[in-house]
Amino acid sequence: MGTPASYKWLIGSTKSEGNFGVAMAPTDLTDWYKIKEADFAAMDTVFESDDDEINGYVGGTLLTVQERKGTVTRKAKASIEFITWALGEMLGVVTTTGATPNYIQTIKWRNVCSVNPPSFSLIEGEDCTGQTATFWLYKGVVIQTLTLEFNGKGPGSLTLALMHDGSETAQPSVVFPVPSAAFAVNKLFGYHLTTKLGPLGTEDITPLLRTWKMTINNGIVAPPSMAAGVLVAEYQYGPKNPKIDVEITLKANKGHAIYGYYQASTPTVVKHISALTINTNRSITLTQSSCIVTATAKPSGNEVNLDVKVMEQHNATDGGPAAFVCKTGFANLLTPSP
Amino acid sequence: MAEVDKTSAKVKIERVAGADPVTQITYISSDRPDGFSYWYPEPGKTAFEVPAEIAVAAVESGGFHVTEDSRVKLKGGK
Repeated sequence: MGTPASYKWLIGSTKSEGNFGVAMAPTDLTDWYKIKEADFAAMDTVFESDDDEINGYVGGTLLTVQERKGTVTRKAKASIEFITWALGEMLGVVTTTGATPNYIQTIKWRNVCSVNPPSFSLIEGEDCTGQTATFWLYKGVVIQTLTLEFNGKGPGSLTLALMHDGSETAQPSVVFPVPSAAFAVNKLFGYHLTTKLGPLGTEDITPLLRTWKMTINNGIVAPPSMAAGVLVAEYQYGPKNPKIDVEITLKANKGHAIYGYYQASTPTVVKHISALTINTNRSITLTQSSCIVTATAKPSGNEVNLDVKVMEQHNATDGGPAAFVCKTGFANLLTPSP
Repeated sequence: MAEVDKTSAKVKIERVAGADPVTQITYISSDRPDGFSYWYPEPGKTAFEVPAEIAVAAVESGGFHVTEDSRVKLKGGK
């Protein structure tokens, strides 16, 4: 029988759907990123009931499927590759430069004219003998939120909330990679993080870091649709989305300059740069060239901490509230499949 | 952004010598106005003939410039 521990899922790191809801070629879905839990894709069904019609019985009796959509959660240890793939799928604006084996993806905020985020397909299943009936393909998948957290020196925690178009397609012939063939990643730990925050963007606060958390939210909406069928016809970015929030806990008190940036009658505009660096060719750098911070002091054991929140400010330098530079082995991202 | 003359069929662009070789750019396509479109220039090639909407994005990436004979096709082009 199948087990949660046998759960695997497949994506195409450099691929995406050419058109929303048109499944990617299963042959392009070969990359298995290890995750922490067997979070099976869920399907949500909206039923229409006739309980608001006089039908001669007590209560509603007829339920009709009106609409289907679905959700998926992914919890993983943070890695350069998994994060870069997710950022590309969320924000969509990617410029890639470089040559084998070292490429640079510059990922910026969605263009104001773009309404639909990129979408992709994935396959999941319990990879055990006789369990091919658990192999399903999900399409029209978009990323709703990305949360990346570091706490001390430990491994980063990456959580993705995904939405799919509500369909499930059997994929009994798919062959999952053997355990040793999981997608090779560069794992990120707390000690890979450096953060600079201040008016110049050169003020290094890395030695003071306790926790660091980034959340990007696409605010995905599925507008009312009368398209044929019961599946989601289109996912859109929410109004004024994507948004980015960065929360940092520092070993610092109200005497620190960062508290002063917040306390000033006109809060100081600062620059925030956080870099996750494995080596010169494998890193992710977040730049927020213009932002405002809030700071709250709190006791933590025997020290005082400042909870700092970085408030986004759209700016011309970043082409949005932030920009990412990811150094990876990906020659490109988001290539249409099939 | 350069104003695009959409009537122009193709624009000749070349890689900027010395710039990091671009392998992917994002552009807004008239075929897919609500979503994202991508152009993947062949890594070993230096000269390309592309639609104006791609040429604009390519030039903005900093990795390409418009060749002299195509410059008139990009109103205000770089």
